[in-house]
Amino acid sequence: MEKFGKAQPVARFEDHRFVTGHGRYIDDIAPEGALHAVFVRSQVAHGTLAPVDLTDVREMDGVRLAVAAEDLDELGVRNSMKATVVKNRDGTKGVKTLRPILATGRVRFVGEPIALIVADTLAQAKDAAEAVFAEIDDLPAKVDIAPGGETLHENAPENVAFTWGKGDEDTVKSAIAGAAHVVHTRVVDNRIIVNSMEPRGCVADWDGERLHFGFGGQGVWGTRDELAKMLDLKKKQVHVTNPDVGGGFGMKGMDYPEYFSIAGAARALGRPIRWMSERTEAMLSDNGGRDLISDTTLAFDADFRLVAYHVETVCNLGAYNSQYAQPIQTDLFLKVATGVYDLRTVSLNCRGIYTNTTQIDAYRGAGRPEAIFALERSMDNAARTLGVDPLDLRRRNFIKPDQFPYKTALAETYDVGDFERVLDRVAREADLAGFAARRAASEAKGKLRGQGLCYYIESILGDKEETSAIEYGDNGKVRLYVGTQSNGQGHETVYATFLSDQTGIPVEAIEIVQGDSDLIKEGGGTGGSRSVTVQNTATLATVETMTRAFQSYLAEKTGEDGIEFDDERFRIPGSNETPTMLDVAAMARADGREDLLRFQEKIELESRSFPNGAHIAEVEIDPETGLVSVDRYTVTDDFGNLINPMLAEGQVHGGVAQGIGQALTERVVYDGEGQLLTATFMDYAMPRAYDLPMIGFTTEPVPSTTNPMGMKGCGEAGTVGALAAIANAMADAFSTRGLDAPDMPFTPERVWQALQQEAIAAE
Amino acid sequence: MESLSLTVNGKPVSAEVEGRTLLVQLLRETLGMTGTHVGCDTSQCGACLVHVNGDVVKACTMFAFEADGAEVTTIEGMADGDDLHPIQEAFRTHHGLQCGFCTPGMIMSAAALLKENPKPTEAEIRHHLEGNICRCTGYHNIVRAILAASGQPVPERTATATADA
Amino acid sequence: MYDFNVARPGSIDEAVKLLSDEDAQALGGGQTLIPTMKQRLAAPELLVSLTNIPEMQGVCRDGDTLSIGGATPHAVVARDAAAHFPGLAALAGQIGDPAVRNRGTLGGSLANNDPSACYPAAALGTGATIVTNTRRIASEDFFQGMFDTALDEGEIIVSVDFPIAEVSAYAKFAQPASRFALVGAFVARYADGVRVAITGASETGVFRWTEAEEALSQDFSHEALDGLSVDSDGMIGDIHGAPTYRAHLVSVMTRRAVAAAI
Repeated sequence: MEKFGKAQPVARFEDHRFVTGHGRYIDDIAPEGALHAVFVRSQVAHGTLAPVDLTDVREMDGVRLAVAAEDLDELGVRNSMKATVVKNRDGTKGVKTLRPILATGRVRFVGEPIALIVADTLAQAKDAAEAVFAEIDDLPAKVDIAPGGETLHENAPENVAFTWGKGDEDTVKSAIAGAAHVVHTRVVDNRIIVNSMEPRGCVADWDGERLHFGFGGQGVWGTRDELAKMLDLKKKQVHVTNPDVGGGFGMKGMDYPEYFSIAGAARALGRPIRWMSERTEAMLSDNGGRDLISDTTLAFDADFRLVAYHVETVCNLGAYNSQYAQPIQTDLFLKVATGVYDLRTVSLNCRGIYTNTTQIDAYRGAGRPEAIFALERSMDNAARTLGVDPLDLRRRNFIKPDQFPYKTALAETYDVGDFERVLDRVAREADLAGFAARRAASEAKGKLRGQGLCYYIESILGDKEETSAIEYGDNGKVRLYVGTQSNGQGHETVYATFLSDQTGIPVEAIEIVQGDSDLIKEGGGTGGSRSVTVQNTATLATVETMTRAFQSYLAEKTGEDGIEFDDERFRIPGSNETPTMLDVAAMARADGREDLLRFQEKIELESRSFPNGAHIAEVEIDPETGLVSVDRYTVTDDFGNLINPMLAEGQVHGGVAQGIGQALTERVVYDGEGQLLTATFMDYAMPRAYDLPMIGFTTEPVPSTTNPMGMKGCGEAGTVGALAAIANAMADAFSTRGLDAPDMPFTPERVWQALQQEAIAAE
Repeated sequence: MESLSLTVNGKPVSAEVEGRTLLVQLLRETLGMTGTHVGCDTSQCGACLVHVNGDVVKACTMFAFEADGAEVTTIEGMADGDDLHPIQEAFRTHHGLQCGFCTPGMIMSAAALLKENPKPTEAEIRHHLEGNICRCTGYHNIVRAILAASGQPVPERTATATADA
Repeated sequence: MYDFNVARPGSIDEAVKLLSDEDAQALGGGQTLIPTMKQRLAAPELLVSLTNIPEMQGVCRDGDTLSIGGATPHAVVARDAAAHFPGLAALAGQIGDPAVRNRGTLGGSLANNDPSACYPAAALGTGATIVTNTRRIASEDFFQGMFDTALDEGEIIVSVDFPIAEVSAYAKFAQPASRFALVGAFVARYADGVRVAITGASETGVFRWTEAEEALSQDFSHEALDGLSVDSDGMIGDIHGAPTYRAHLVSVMTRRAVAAAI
């Protein structure tokens, strides 16, 4: 048996409950009689907040508790959330902001929680929330992504959170000065709202000694630790669970202020409390994504080989440091900043800016889509500017197969890759040869057509460690305990299939246990496309331990040496008995060998893996209206070995759709006062079915050498490739009119306005 | 308070609700049928679709009292015992769902389409899903699942590799 | 949402009586009213549902007039008007999405007069007559600006009489998020001339583009519109489209409607 399993497109086991309406999402599991929580939120973006008097509100019908910042001490809840900070170029640390869980003395974005109301019914809680008067003296709002403006945090002059940098700038400068060709590109990576279809929510309950906290999340252990710290509890007093989760995309991987005040309220009241955000509330309070501007410089020698690359980025952090915001456009951007190119002379600078907008944090890909978009948009611009074929320019600069393992200039060591092979394949699949005819057909209809290529590489992230435990129940079932958390990726199917492939245990006998901090001691959660690779590696290690233990046990029992396991049955020399894993476990149980009924191993990946691939998009523009349609979209990926090709492909479809959404339809608008003008689906355009084409998908696998299955991870790849593919296709289409494409998102009006330059230019 | 009697998934139901109680609240909170979801406040996302007297409607944009006397079918009523409805089966077979949150609405929407147009084209399917938003699948496999459920040929799943994986 | 009492009258007289209370509000399909009430932007004390009144339902042809009940859902119009007045049926089939079309009603849409709604373009573009419980109102007199109509408090749209056009079509450019009309043009040719009504574009709501009507009455072809445009002054400007863009789309959508009608 190969260690990567049978690579079958197995239909998912979890789907039965989802297609019959029996999924259990957070708002489906509220305990009977739970009280309802509603937040009073700031309606202004920036202002001084007077102490909030809730005396009258507490007397309203059904109100059980009303809490503002001043009341948190009494509730025993700390009023400051944690966040990671980066190191500045000069060695000092980035700014640590005080991020309160309820606004304290100042409000800094529209939607910031000011008070928590808990009441018997949702309507009563809303009535009370509406009656709260929060006295706010307006301050000027700071909304642009540039240093300066009204200061949000006293310890962040000019609103600059950090001035991060990597690579020697002087070396890069002189390389650029001596280069044959230099191309500058401005790349605007627009803000998005994540909008998982299930908004955020939680339930909290206190039984007198322990807190149970359930929420739609991407893992339970980090939140358990934070809850313990913020509520001054011992970790063992906190039980955190994730039920079915209706999409996360990084956004649900972080802690939020609402969780702590609600947990504190549940403890104070000794009653269960439920909270479910409404869509507008979610759009105002969920971590946003992207929102950065990168000015790049690419320098080439006379043969169009890259000699230097410099990136100057400013990124928006929103009003506070969210949990992992600072490292995204810095340490994570760095991971794949030089893409798939043999590029030794590189420098990156990034400044983080506070604004009076909702905080920004990880969104599908977190730093890597941004880095690849900046680089691949710049490469395309260079090809166009220098008159070189965009595929040829990339081929000239690819890291060649014989250069692996390849240590990049600033960060990572890529283990394997064959970028030429992938590029050749995608060119065939996308029918590049037929493009001229398709363009002519579009022109004949009065439309513009453009084609865009993005060659991306991705670095798998997240915790390198993971634990699997296999436990034989007395009901004939085998439980596999995992440390990751499905948000819709189909982990139950993938993990059960994998365990079955490795052990011969029928999948029907396997139950996956996830998302419960009592049942599972530790785990890394889901994020960074890590889950299947790390979890299956841990499962494999656990299976090996179990196999050896069973072999020893059988050897003891039979007196035979040389017992073999063939992935389905144990072969005992001189015996016709060929027991399965389940058989051996039953024997062990009969013998009272409890030690043989549960196995657990923790692994640490020696290194990351690097999924890569090429996307080719073809767009058609209606110049009369500015409407852009994606006519063809072709992906060839190298994900290494695939465990379940159908599920991997599904990840690509979804990732590409999120990238196309960001590129074409999804636009976040804050006005000058910091009001979010796109706070409902009436104004924020989620991509619909007819905004998207069928997505062609093929693979050219080069198995990774950094894990036993040869996998590479696929959760984020689609998004990483899509932005530049679409933007480059738009640039190509605009070039037919001698024009530059506008910045993303390519909304109809923006595209139409940009096409009006033609008339102006012609005058 | 309003007294209502209606049929939900073939079973008679009586309830006392406030005037403002939405149909989706009646289903989820009063009747405990949580398969119908709420994904937005503005009638855009379609996670709450149910059938009322055979017509697909948004249960978040209809008052419970308006369903007095009606026959309501929710996602929980689509399967016949243990046998999945062909659309449910197609979503499962063709990986037409990931997180599953939009799925009940998608299935109810697809059922309405196929009742009216038993052999829709890909374009007709995409157009029909105007009021159903999915964040996970890129709609690719949802469209394929609906084609399959209509008994039409489904474009091949395209995952192919040159190397032997 | 604030709570309220409900009434489900079975006749127009009963409904009118109930709506004479100043805190009463008529409820059609609720596709606009319910989201508004969720935001607590409307707080009626009594909701009077108009969907149980048989005279207000259905599509009925009388000679060259198609009469449609005020409480008829868009989906029913899209289906039942198709054989009689395909341009109107097609417009109804483009409103909202399938689920919205099963609830939203003609009368609800006209009474609300959202500047981005589709139906006002059909009513004005056909010279329809809005029939209420007390009178008949010509469409020219009915629409009185954004969210404003000639309806008195408590007055109900019982039905709408649409003169059936020889040929007609509606071309809609959808706002990318809401899918309401960013600009929609309804063009209808009658024996005595062509009518063009534009929705979505103007700060005063639906309007007739008379210059285009004159040109098209001479020559019903999209070439007849060459060189014609509306002034961007007075056009709506928002995050989805500046006044200049909307003014431009008025020409584009009108041409497309003419092309579709032919």
